[in-house]
Amino acid sequence: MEEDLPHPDPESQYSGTNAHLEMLKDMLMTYNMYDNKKVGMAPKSLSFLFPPWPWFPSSLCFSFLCLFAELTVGYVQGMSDLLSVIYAILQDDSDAFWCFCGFMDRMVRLPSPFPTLPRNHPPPLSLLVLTFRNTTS
Amino acid sequence: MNQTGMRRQLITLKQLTQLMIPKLYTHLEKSGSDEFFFLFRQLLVWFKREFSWEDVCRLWECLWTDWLSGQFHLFIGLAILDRHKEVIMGMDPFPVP
Repeated sequence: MEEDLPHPDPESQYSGTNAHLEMLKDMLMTYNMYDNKKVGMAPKSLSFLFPPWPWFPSSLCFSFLCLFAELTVGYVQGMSDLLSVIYAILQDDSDAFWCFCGFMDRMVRLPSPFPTLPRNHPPPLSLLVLTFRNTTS
Repeated sequence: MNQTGMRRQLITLKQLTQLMIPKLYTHLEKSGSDEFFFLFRQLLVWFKREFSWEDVCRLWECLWTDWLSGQFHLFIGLAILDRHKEVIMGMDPFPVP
């Protein structure tokens, strides 16, 4: 995150740091904590799924873990790009933070328009093309 | 927006290109770029670094409407490829200095 934020060109007039950049960093840090916390709480409520049931297949445990891993994001390179636009428009850190959370939710947990598919899974090609054809013709 | 999500998006875009711009796809395949990693950044930050500030705001607003599909940015990527296919195909993939 530290490397991601400042302007890459040290000669640029936008290099170095300023109050807004610091605020951006704070917001991303907060998001990181916020997102981790959400996930940290999930497995506890579902702890009955995990051993001490010795017969519980470990592969299944693993797939549950993966499910939770899919729900967490933390900081991903490029997030600063996404947040900076929102922050620049709203000019308010709390508004920007919650809008950003919504944006990330949308990206990670976008409800699939095709309910049989996992969330955020791009619909199969045939369906995409069908939608496209129906609107262009 | 983790790695698997990104991977899926790239694969979808690959399939879309294969179907809609087969000529370009053959070219990319020949030059070993058919994994579409060159579009990774564009998809990751929703073309934020590719367009001007006003255009990015407008584009994002449109994408947030979820018109037709929540994955409409894939079509934007496809449209960009289509617009520039002549330039891309005219390039020598392995230029000899």
